[in-house]
Order: sequence, then structure tokens, then C-alpha cells
Amino acid sequence: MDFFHAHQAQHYLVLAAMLFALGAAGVVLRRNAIIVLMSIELMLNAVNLTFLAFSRFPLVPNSPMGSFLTGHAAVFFVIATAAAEASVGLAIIIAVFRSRTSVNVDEFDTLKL
Amino acid sequence: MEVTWLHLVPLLPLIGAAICGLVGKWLPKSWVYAVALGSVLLSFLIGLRAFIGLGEPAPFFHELWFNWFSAGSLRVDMAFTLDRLSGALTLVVTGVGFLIHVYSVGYMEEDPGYWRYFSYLNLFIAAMMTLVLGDNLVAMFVGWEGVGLCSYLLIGFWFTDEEKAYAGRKAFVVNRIGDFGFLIGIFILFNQTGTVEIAQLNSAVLPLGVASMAALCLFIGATGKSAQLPLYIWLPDAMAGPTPVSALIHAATMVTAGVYMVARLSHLYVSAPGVMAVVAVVGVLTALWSALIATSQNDIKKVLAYSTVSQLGFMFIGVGVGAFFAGTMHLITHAFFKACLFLGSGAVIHGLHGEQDIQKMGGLRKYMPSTRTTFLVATVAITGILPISGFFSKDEILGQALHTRAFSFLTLTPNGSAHLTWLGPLVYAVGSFAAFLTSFYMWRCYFLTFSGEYRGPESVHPHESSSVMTLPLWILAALSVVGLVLGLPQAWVHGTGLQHWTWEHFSEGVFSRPRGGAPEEFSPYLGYGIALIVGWAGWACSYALFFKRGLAGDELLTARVHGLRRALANKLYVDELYDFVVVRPFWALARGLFRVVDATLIDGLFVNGIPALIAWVGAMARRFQNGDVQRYLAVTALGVAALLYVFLVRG
Amino acid sequence: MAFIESHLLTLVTFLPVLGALLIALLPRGEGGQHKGIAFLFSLLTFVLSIPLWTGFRAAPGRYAFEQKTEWAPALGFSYHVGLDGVALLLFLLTTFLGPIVVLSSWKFIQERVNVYCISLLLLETAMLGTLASLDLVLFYVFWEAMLIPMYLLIGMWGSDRRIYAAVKFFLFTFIGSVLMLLAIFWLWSNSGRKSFDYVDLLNSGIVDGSTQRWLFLAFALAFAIKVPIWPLHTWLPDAHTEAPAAGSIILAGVMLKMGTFGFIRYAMPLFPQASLAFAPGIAVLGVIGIVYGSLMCMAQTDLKRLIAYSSVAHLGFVMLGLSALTPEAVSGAVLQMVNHGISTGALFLMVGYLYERTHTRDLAAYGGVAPVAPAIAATFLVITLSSIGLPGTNGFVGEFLVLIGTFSSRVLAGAVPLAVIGASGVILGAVYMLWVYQRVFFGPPRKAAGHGLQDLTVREWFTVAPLLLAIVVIGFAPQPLLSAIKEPVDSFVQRVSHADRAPPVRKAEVGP
Repeated sequence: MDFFHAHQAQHYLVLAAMLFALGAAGVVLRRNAIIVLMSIELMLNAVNLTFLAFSRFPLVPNSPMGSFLTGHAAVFFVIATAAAEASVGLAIIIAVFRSRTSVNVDEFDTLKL
Repeated sequence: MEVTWLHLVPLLPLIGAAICGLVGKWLPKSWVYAVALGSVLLSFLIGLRAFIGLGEPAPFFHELWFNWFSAGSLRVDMAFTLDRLSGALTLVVTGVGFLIHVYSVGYMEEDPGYWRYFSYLNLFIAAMMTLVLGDNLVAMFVGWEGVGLCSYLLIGFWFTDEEKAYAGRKAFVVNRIGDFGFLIGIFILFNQTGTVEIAQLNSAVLPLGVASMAALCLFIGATGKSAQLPLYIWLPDAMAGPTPVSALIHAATMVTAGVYMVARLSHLYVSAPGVMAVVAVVGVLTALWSALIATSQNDIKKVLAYSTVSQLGFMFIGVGVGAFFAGTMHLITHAFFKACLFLGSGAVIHGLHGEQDIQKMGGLRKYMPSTRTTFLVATVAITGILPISGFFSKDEILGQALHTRAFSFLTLTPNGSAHLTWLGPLVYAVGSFAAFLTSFYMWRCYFLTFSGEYRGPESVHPHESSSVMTLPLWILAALSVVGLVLGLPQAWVHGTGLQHWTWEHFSEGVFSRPRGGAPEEFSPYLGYGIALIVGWAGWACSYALFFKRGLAGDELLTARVHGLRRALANKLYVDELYDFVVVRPFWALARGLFRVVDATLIDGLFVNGIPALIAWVGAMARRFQNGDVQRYLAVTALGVAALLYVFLVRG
Repeated sequence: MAFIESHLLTLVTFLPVLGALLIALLPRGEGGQHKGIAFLFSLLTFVLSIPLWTGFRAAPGRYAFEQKTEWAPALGFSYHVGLDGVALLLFLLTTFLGPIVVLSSWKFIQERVNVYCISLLLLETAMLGTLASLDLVLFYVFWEAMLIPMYLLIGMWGSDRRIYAAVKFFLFTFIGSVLMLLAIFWLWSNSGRKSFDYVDLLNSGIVDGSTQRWLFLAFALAFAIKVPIWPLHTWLPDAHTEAPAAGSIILAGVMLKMGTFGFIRYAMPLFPQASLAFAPGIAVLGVIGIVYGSLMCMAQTDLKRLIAYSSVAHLGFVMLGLSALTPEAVSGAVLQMVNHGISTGALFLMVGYLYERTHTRDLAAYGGVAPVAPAIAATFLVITLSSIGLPGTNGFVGEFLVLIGTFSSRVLAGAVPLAVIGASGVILGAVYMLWVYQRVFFGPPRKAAGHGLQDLTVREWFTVAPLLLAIVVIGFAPQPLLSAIKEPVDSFVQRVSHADRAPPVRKAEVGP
């Protein structure tokens, strides 16, 4: 890990990785669609944390590649996207629930061959 | 000498056949007769004119009608040659053919398909003339197959009867087996010499192996067409056709095509003396075999059919031992008396309203005097008890066989120890026995039909046929007698005007001599004596058994040699044997191949199997797409991780 | 006028398409008009193709009625058409059979008549184009274009298993031609001049050893499936059995010949060394086809399927003749192509008429038809005799030339036994054809002969009579046809049989 500028970032990165893994596991393994959405949120927040970590502890300090607040700006984009995606996702789940009275993703298999 | 009218001989009957066949149904009956008989008569007259014109300055007439086809180095013309041999045969075919046409007018009077019949009959004459006059092997083959076709059409003439239709088909297929041999023979000769013209082949130098193969293959064709062992089986069944057909095609002309072919290619055959031995042996065996069967047949036409096979065997003995003139002489005389016999039997059948079983005949001499007399004359001719035509021709063959030198240098073993000098005398002995049998069964036939008392049912009133049918009988009977001139021994006629009328002298230049040379001059009287004894012996046995006793004679014989008689009556079970060994396995093979190879192997395994395999693979692959999006995501994530690993870590 | 003369070939080839266009513009319901236009245009095509025959002048290496128009010079293909003797004969066969096919299905086809007529006409153009093209891309386009109309014909108006048969036909043939396309591309890229033109490729020099074999195999596969050569034949019985009568006639009459034509025009001259090497194999397969096909005929209970297998047997003769590489054999093979088209086409025509009347193809139901329908019996007999090669009919000359040419071939290994076994085909042919004939026409009447079986009508006579005439005329006077093909046959034989003596030419040395 010695190619990082500051060793403090690794704590944040490890946390973000663990959160991402938990979120990914939740997306893949959980059966309830709402829990899947929450897991997606978790993943997105893990990404946010990663962005912030690299923004606060950049790889190359004092570089001309944009200001040290680039990561912070990216986080705003991610938060906005997450909000939009959560609302659309919940709307879809409600629509599906109305026709199938279930939010169990195992039952949504009409895409199969 | 080149001429331009020779092609009319086969062409006129062909046109006659076309007219009768295409529009004969709607023409008045007399027109059909006029066209049919007229065309054959014209052919005869043209042939006669040509024949008379044959002399020293023009030993033959030749015409190149047109180039039929040529490709590469092969050139096949429709060309004809009329020399002494083919000229004589032309007269026989068209002459006897014409008489049979006349006879048929009466015989087929009440048949609604008469126009078809005359069309086929004309077509036959056309094909036969092409065969006889053809100057190359392919033209001969055209006629060869053409007569086979007419045989098929005429045997199966009454085709609504399944058996008759089958007999026609059998004839064609068996003939085709022979034709296969004929074709291979043509190929061998073309391969060796580059030509198919008979004149060129007859002067080509042919190495022994090639000549033997070609001669043998062509002879296979002859065994088919001329009903020798082992392909004779179609001829007795061919009796299903109308009797004039049996007379013309299966007695006088078509079946003699094989003998004619061997005689025509005498140069080839003398270049292959081993094959000549085969020809003679096949001939004598066939003569014996069918003579035996003929003694126990009860259908009058079947007796005559087997008799024909037997007499053809004699002809092959003649050409096989190198006495080509003897074989062809018997061909000519046989045409006369066998046609007479067949037409006579036809008159009997016609007069008995369809009865063919001699067991139901008898005493017909009272009802059919003309038929009886002509039949008697012809029987005398074939059995040779009086010195008329058949006597001289048959005896000449046997005499030549006895004294032949064609086999003296042939050996059974390669190192040259066992010479075949004994083959000739052996053929003579067996042939004489066959002659005895000939006399026996022919007289049996005559006695049971004409002598004694009528054994048939009351309802049938036997009557003589009309003069349109009996006139040809008389003419043929007369020819059977007059034909003796052909066979008069040289010793008798040497120096006289009659010498030019003997066949031996007439056909001098046409045939090649066998390698051993002609037999030394032998006195014919011993041969005549033995022949007369043999003939009379047969007559005597028949007379004793059948003249007074009628069918009781048959019963006496059957009591004595029960098993043999039954076997002979059943034609020695040859048809059954062929059916079991050849026909059935063949069809079973076809069906088996179809089921195993086509249906199961090719279609099942490959053509339908490969798509089935693909479909199965697809079904397996389909399991990956179960509609579970989470699964998709998981797989995607794994894939991305793997890719990252490969690119980042491995580089 | 001069314009027409120089473009006659193109005109004749595309005339049926014009007819198809016209039919497409007409309202759907007018079945009679559709058939009328189809017949008119096919007849017109035939009439216009007669000057192709009379004006044909054979010249070594040149093609008659040649026309070349640039299409895509950058890519290397052009619209190049022309005829040599072999193509001429097959071309005329196609135009000859065209009106017969249309006329024969007049009563039989009742639904979607416009699609049917369009399919027939498009098929005719595709076949004519295949024969006339001298450019490999053009050839391939027409080759593939034959498939769709045939697929429609079988699949829409066929019998019970038509879908299976149509799909089988299409996929089988298509798979073969895909490999051929690859080979064509290889030839293009290695021809030095980047050309698809046939004449250029022919003159562009020898491809080296093993590559040539692979290329030959690629081409040969496509054609072998089409011919069909054993063991790639199993699509044929199904296609023929399920197709409507007209489909069978055109399939047997012309389409199968495309395969053999492909061999003599493309596969063998373009790759002479490979052809020489593979010739014994092809000959063996041909002989197997003859014997096997005949035996299969004997095992059939379906009338059409039996005749389909007889096609396999007949075309076995053609392949034997082509691989014997002597002028006699190859001439016989080409003649047999024409003969087979006529006689087997005629057989399917008659069987189609029988089926129209009895609605059964089962042999067990037939018997005793001859007294009821003597005209059908007589014509069927003549056609049967042609099929078994009776001298005097067209079948004999071709068969005889093939066999005698094969027998005396010095080029082909094992020629003599192959010729002998092939000659046994004459026996087998007589066995099964006469058996069928007796079964159907002779003997006591059975079920099919019962319900007022009608004899040939006038319209049907018009379809049969030309074929009968052709059988007899070609039987007696085949020489004009043989003269027409003499030159291409000779140059073909020269090119392939002497291939092992030609010095190999490196590709790079040839070309501008």
C-alpha cells in the first residue's frame, strides 16, 4: 500500500470496500426488492466514501489535475443520481407489487428463455 | 457396294409400327392390316432383290444411313451391311415374319387390341432387321434391345392378367442381364481396337486374353437373348403371349440373334478357342437339359418352348465347334419348322377355344386335317426321321462336333497335359442323346394331340382354322421340306447346279476358320445312319407308349420313374431356385439397406442428429438465462473482477 | 435491333422477373390472370431462347453472347455473362421446361396463385442466371437466389411433411454453399488482380497443392449436395416427395443439374490438379450412387420417393462420366444431364397427374390403370423406356457414352471395374422401373384405378407431347447436341486430365 500518499486514506478505503462488498452481496443475494434497493444505496454510498477519501488524500499532492475538491463534486453527482434512482426504483417496485402482490425478486423471471 | 436403299428394310416396318400404334385405333381394320402386312412384305421384297443381286462383283451391299453419334474417338453410325449371311437371315425374318403377320390376321380377329398387336409386331421386324443388318456392334445392340422391348410388349400383351404382365417383365429383365454382358463386350473391343464396326473388328488382330474376355461377355448376352443356360428361364414363361408371337419371336427369329451374333463375329470367336469350347459345352448342356424337361410338359406351347431352347443349344454346338455354317443352317431350317409347329399349335388352341393342355386333346386329326398334316411334316423335320431339312442341319452339327479340330490344342491344365480332343466326341454323344429325346418328346406331343381319340370336354367342338391361318402353315411345311437342299452333303452335289444352293457352299467366304483348321473330310454316311437310328428310336419309344395308349403311356412312365418325372414336370425347380437364391435376397438387401443406411445412419445420425445435438446444446445453454437479474449481476461482477485481475495483475 | 442482339442473353435471363413484377402488380384474386401471365412469359422466354441455339457458334475459349458490364470495379466483380456449349444446352432445357411447368399446375394450385407464379418465375431467372454467369459473385448470387423460391414452393404448396422437407432442403444446400463463398473469397484475394471474374481466374495460374485441395473440396461440397452425391443425398427424397408436382419437375429437371454444372464449369477447371487427385473418389461415389440409388428404388412404397431415388442413380452416371475425364465419357455425362432433365421431369409430370386424380402416392393403392387411362399408360411407358436407357430413346446415348468412355479411360484409376459395376445399373434400372410400371398400370385394378380415373386432357397433352418429342428426337439424332458441347468438353478434358503435367505457376508471377 506504499504507493498512496497518505496512509490514513487506507482506513477509509477499507471501510468503503467493505461497505461496497456488503452492498454487492445484498444486491445479489437478498430476495426482497426493497432490500436490494437499499443495498444499491449502500454501494453508492461506499463509492461516495471512496471519492471523498481520494479527494481528501489525493494520490499526487499539489497536482495541476483539477482542485482537491474534484472528489467532493463527484459525490454530489452520485447523491443526486442515487436519489433519482431510488425514487424510480421504488416507483417500479410499487407498480410491480400492484400486479403481482409480491416483492420477491426470485419471482420476476419473465426475462428467461 | 454402297447403296442408298438398304435402310428401307428396317425403316418401313418402323413406319408401319408408328402408323398402327398412333392412329391404328381409329383406322378401319383393313387399313391396319394393309399397313402392317404391306410394310413387312415390302421389306421382304427389297431384301429379296438385294439377295439375288449378291454376286461376285458385289459380295455385299453397304449403306451408311447417317452418323448417329460421335464423341471423342468413338464414331457410331446407323449403317447396314447385307452380305450372304445377313441377306439370308433378312429373307428368313421378313419372309417368315410376313407369313406370321398373315396368320395373325386370323388369330387376332376378335381381339380389340389388334392394332396394338400389329404395331408391336411391325416394330419387332424393324428391330430385328436393325440387328441383322447393323454393320457395327452398337447398331446391332439397338436391334438387340429393340427386340427385347417388343418381346416385353408382346408377351405381356394381355396385361390385365398379372401373371402375363410378370412374364413380360421377367423376359425383359433377364434379357437385360445378358445385355449387360453384351455391353461389356463392346467396351472391351472398343478399348482394344478403337472401333465398333464389325468389318474392322473381324479383321483386327486380337490378343488372346482380350479376345477371350470380349467373346465371353458377348456370349453372356447371347445366353440371355437365345435362352441358354443359365438365362433361359424367360422363354417358357414367354408362352403367355399370343401364339403367333411365340412363333415369330421365340422360335424363328429373336432367339436366334445370339447364334447370329456369334456367327457374325466368327473371327473374334476363333481368336478365343477357349470361349468356343464354353459355347459348345453350354449349348450341349442346354440342349440336354431342356430336352429332358420337354418330355414331361403337358402344355403344348411349353413343350415347343423347351424344344426351342434345346434346338438353340444345338445351334450353339454348331458355332461352338467352329462349324459356323452348320449352326446358322440349323437356324434357318429351325425357323421354318418351328414356326410351323408353333402356328400349328396356335391353330389347335384356336380351334379348341383356348385349350392348351395336351391331356385334353387327342384325335384332332379328324377335325383339323391341314393342321395335322403340316404339324406332322414339321415334326418329321425336327426329329430327323426322314431326310428333309431338319435332318441334314442337325446331323451336320453333330457330325462337325464329332470331327472337330477346334479343341485339340486346348488344355485343361496350364502346363499343357490334358488335351481337350475328347470334347468334340463327348459333345457328339450327349448331343445325340438329346436328339433322341427330341424325337421322343416331339412324337409324344404329336401322338397325344392328333392320334387316338378326343379326350376333351363335350362342349368344345374342335374345328379347323380359316385359310388365312392354314395357308402359312402349308407354306412353312413346304419350306421345311424344301429346305433340305440347304444341307445336302458336298459329296452328293459336288459339281452340280445344286451345289450353289447348299448353305455350306453359299456361306463360304463369310466365316473364319477355327485355329485347328476345318475337320478333315469325313464320310457323312455313318453319321446319317446313327442319326436315323436315334431318330427312329425316339419315334419307336413314343409310338409304343402313346400312339394307342394315349395318356396311359404317361402314367406308365410316371410309375416307373416317379421322382424324376415330377422334377421334370416342375421344370427341375430352376425358377424356384433362382427366386430363393437371387431374387428374394436382392429385394431383402434393398429394403435392408434402406432401413439401415438411409433411414437410420445417414438421416437419423447425421442429418437429423446434428440439429438434435445443436438443439440439445442450446437447451443446456438456455439454463443460464433463468430471468434472475441478481444472478446476471453476480456473474457480471465476477467477470469484471476476473478481467481486472488479468489486465492489472497479469498485464 | 442490334441492342437486342448483343443483350439477348440478359433479356432472356431476366424476362421471367418482368413477368413476376407484372403479377405482383395485379390484384390478388385474379388467379387465372396470374397463371396466364406466368405462362405467357415463360413461353416468351423459351421462344426468345431459340435464337440462342440457332445463333450459337462454338469457338475455343470464347463464350457466345458474351456481355460484360462493370458493376463494382473496386471490389472486382462485374456483370459478366456468356454461354458455352454445356451452359447452352442446360439453358435451353430450363427455358423448355418453364412453360411446361406452369401449364402442368394449372388446375392443381388453387390458393395464393400469385405467390406461386412469382416463385416459379423467379426460380427460372435464378437458374438461367446461374448458367449464364461468368463472374463468381454473380454466380453465387444466382445460386443462392434459387433457394428461396424453391423453399416457398415446397413449404407452401407441398404435402403433409412439407415444412420439414423445405427446411431440410434449404439448410442442407445452404450449408454447402457457405463454404463455397469462403473459397470464392480466397480465390479473389489470391488471384493477383483481385478479380471475381471467371475467365480471369481460369487464366490466373495454378494454386499450390494442398490449398487447392481444400478449395476444391469447398466448391465440391456445395455442388455435391446439389447433385446429389451419395451420401449427401437424403434431402432429395423428402424434397421431391413433399413438393408439388411442378416443384418436383423443376427440381429434378434443372436444379439438380446445377450441381453437376458447377463441377464441370467451376470446381474442376479451376482446380485441375485437385480434381485429378479426387477423380477416383468421385467416380466411386458415383458408382455407389448408381447401385445404391437403384437398390433404394426397389425398397420404396411411395411412388414419388422411388423416382427421387432414381434421380440419384441417374446422376451417379453423370458423376462417373465427369470423373472419367475422357471426351466420350464427359460428352455422355453432359448429354445425360439434359436427358435426365427431360425423362425424370416427364416422370414427375406423369406422377403429378396421377396424384391429382387419385390423391395417393402409395404404390399399394395402384394397379390396373392401363385399361382405364391408356394414354397415360402409353406415355408413361415411353418415359420409362427413356429412363432405363432403351436405344432409340435419349437415355441410351448418354449412358452408353459414359460407360464406354469410363471403360477406356487411361486417366482414371480403377476405370474398368467402375465401368462394369456402373453398367450393372442398366439391369437394376430395368428391374425397378418395370416393376413400378407393372405395379401401377398392369394387373387387376385396385383402389386408385377405381374412381373414374380420367385419361389425359388436352392441356395435359400439351405438356407431355414436347417431352415425348424430345425423348424420341434426341434418341435418334443426338449429334447436334454432341457437336455443340464438343469444344467445351474437349478443353475441359484437356485441362483437367493433363493437369499433372502442367508446370506449377506461382501466383505472384501472373497478373498485371
